[in-house]
Amino acid sequence: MSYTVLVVDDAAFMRNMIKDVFGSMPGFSVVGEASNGVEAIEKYKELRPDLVTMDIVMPLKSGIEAARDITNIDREARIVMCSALGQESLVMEAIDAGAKDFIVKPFKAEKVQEVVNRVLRIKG
Amino acid sequence: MDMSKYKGMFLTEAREHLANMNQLVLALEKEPENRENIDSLFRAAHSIKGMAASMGYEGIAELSHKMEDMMDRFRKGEMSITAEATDILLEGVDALERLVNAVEQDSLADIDIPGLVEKIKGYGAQKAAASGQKPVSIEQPSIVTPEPQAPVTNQRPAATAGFNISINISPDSPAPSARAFLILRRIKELGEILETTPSEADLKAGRFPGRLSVKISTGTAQGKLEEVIRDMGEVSSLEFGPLGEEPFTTPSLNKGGQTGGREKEAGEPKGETPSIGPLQQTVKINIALLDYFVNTIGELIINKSRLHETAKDISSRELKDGLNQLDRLVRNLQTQVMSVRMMPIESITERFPRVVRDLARREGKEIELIIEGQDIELDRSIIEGLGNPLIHMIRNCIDHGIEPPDERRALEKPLPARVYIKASREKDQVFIEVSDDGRGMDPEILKDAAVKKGLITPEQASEMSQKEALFLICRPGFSTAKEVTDISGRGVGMDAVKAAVEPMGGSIDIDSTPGEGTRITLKLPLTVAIIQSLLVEAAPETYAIPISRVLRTLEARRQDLKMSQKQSFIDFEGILIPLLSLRKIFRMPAVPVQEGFISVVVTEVKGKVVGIAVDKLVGQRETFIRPLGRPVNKIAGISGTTVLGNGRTIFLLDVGNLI
Repeated sequence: MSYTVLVVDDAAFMRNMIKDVFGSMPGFSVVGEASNGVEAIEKYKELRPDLVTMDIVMPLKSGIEAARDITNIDREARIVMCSALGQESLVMEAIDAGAKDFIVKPFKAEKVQEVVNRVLRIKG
Repeated sequence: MDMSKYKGMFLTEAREHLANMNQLVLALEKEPENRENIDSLFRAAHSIKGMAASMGYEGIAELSHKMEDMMDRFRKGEMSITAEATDILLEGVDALERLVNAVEQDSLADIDIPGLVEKIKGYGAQKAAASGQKPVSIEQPSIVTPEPQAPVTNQRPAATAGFNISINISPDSPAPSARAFLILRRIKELGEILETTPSEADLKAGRFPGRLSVKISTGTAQGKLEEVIRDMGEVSSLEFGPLGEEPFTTPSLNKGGQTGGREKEAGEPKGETPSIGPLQQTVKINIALLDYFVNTIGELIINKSRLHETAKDISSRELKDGLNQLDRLVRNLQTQVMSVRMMPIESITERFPRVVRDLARREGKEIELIIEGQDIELDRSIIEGLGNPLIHMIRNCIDHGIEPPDERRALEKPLPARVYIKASREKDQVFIEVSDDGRGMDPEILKDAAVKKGLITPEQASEMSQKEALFLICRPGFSTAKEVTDISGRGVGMDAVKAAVEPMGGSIDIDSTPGEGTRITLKLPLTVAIIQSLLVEAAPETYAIPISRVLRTLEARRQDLKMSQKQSFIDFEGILIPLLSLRKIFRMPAVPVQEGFISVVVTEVKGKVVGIAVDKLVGQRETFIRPLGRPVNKIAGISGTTVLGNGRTIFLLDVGNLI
């Protein structure tokens, strides 16, 4: 059973890295990308992925706002925030807005795996 | 993870952000209150930090992090942007650029990062102290409260089931308070939280010593709780104790004024939701791929013309229809690919304001740079070749052209002085004008200097027109070494500008009025590889001349030739221009003249209009030009090859350097 992933980050560079991480994890397939919060919500509605990785600081709409909006659409949305160092308070805000967990850059593949597994075990 | 394959992308994106940051700082210098620019600058620093951290480039990550912090304080209104701040920011951007370059070359940059970091932090500290104001605090007072849905009570009977849990977060967690926060949230689902230390508010403010204590009233078994908590990750130790009877305490952890930086504005513009138009679908593609497309299309064009050539003698309706269709398809493909290769001039001009600012400061001159036509597009390979020539021309304006402020005032010339860059397009040519309102050039002075440097004889000087004298600055050796080092330390003179522009099929025009200013115009073709050429014959050879270099073609009658000191002249629009022979230029044997007419191609060389006599004008063709390889590219007068429909390879002439 393959889990579908939506990758959201305004840097193409980061999106590629995250895609590659999922590429090396069996059972996952990245089905969409978005580069800002507005696009993230659109893509979520279109794809209804099993998992969303969400950057925090983005143009047009932040990851926190997007997480809030997506969680309003779908309470079960599994959003994992991707934060840089020093953004703890933002991460916590995102968690309040509906994110289920977070990973900190630079990523380690094992860490991503651990967080993703945990989040996907959460049932409605 | 193997990071090396991301290096290319990192470099491209980091440089885009840095170019953006440069623009933004300059804009903020003019408008320090512009919120949008402050936000954008914050985001750009943040992006670079994120990418650098992922790649393990710690110096870049640290420096950009500090710049991000500085921008954050501007965003929150804790400090305002002063000239000192923009200087520091520009220093930071420059340092980042050098660090990124060092990454590209796998070398170390000689940058004092700790020193720069101190400077950045120092600005903030001194500003906060000087203004005497505390950072804007949006912190709520911190009291220990249970969740709203739980009743607030002061005491709980000891008999209630529950635990006093002590959770230690692993010291190498990158975000310990966020992790603790997440754990707390999870625990809440399993019971009623009576008390937490630190409080949730303190946790959110980042005041987290590493250990979270939770008093929870719950029916869940310890084992299950333990499993759930450990599953949240990053828990180094976990202790369970019984709930005590102690009454609530309300420790106040709000230590007067110092906030942990609870950020309400998470970096996005508040309030507006922009209307969602159709989202653009774009891709980033490797430049090598674009070159491949152009080459392949060129081959298609060559093959297509060979098919046409062969089909001439075959009468088949279907063949002709097929070929016409092929023509259309290839032409459409070509148009699309060429348009992808087009880049706006902005991509090179965007760094000019900074260059002008720095140079003007260094020379002590007041200069305003005005750029027009930045959205005019050129083939990217032309754009690449233009950067240094244009900067050199700007330097000339600033170093030699523009007078110092006192002199200008004495002459009653306006201050600040102006340097203009104007790009415009006419049909299939682009004009880029670099001009200034400075001293201008005096042809007589130029001639004297050239004679002194031994570049021309006094006789040549006296015969030279004013226009030709201006072109003396393009002669190799005209600029002395001391005037001529450019920003990257290599010598560059106007001759290098000419050498950069002409092989592309471009040309230079120079205009100047002493006392008023100088204008140098670059004329460039829109595309490089596939251009319209005029085919001419100097039997048995055929040559191609870029149409962009041809002023006119004409048929001159033998009897209309004028002779003067062994040089032939013909009349061109009322002026006598010298007539040269292509055969002679290429040292081909003369042929007996059959007809009474001579075919002439009129062109401009080094500021002079000349006619070049050829045996025959064959016609105009669309040609795919391939550059010359070594050592053939050293031959003066030719700058490429193309293949004709009949399969023959011919040379493209570099008219500017034929003579």
